[in-house]
Amino acid sequence: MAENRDLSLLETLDHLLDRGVVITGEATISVADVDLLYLGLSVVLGNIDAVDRLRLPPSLKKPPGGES
Amino acid sequence: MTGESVLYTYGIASSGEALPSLEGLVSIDGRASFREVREDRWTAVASEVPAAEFSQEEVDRHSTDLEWLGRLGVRHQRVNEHLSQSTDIIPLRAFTLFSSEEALRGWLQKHSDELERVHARTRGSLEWTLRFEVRGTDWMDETAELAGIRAEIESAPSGKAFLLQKKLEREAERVRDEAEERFIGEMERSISERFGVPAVIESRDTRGGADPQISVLMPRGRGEEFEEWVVRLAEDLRSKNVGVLLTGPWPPYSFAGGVHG
Repeated sequence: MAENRDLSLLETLDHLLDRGVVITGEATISVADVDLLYLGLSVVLGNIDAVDRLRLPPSLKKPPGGES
Repeated sequence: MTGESVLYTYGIASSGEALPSLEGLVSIDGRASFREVREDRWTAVASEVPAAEFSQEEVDRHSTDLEWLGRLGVRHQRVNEHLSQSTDIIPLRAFTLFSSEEALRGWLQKHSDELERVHARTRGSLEWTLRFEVRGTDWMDETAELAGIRAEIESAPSGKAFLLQKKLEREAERVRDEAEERFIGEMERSISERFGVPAVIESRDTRGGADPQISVLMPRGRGEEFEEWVVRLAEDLRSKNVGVLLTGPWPPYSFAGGVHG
């Protein structure tokens, strides 16, 4: 389901992208327009039926993109 | 390593822990090339990648390309997810790079105390994230003050009514922000009272306007208990039209901060 794929992908990025107090390496490259990603996440969630909002656990066991 | 390559670093483990095999996993550059870089107390898991493909300019060029970002993000996450299944990995955010093994070892040495604190805090735990969709609910946007402005608008001449409408919109936004903040604070307190675990609150403001969330650091053995608790919470909140999204378990990305943690 495309929405689920988008959700997994955005959730993953939401956790991975540097946006706060974290250990940073010698160089941590920043990703611009992170806010857009977060807002994209809200849009995706907004399209999901309320009953479907609670997902336990995330669909990362079957990662988006189908890459093994 | 040459000057044309850099080390993309996924996470850091205590050198005392045996790291699992990464066979079968895809490295960040799409190959299957990993290396462990050890510096006494700490071992970093990294991949040597072409510097040109991981420059700020290149990332900037792809910054709104969700397919590209997602592909790399999933590779990064899979490595840390795999490592976190059997070790207490300190996960690094995406795009953490070092110019050489020497630079990485120097960094591990310099930040050893900080890593020790993070490791002690996150050892034996994984991260779960609870997001709340609160906006649009009736119970949070009505106050006596807003009702008063609405009443004023009804009896005001058109010019004044226009200004009052603008005032109403501003005040309604403020009221919603405050109600949401109170709600998230209540949720955090409920989690704290029930589980007594560290939590990181990210407000709507922090998240650039996206729904607020609370990440918690849950001992591995309590994940199922937390899921069951959240299911009951979500059922309770449904009557208030508040949506709940739980994801996890994640490597403890939100708790890998060492500066203010």
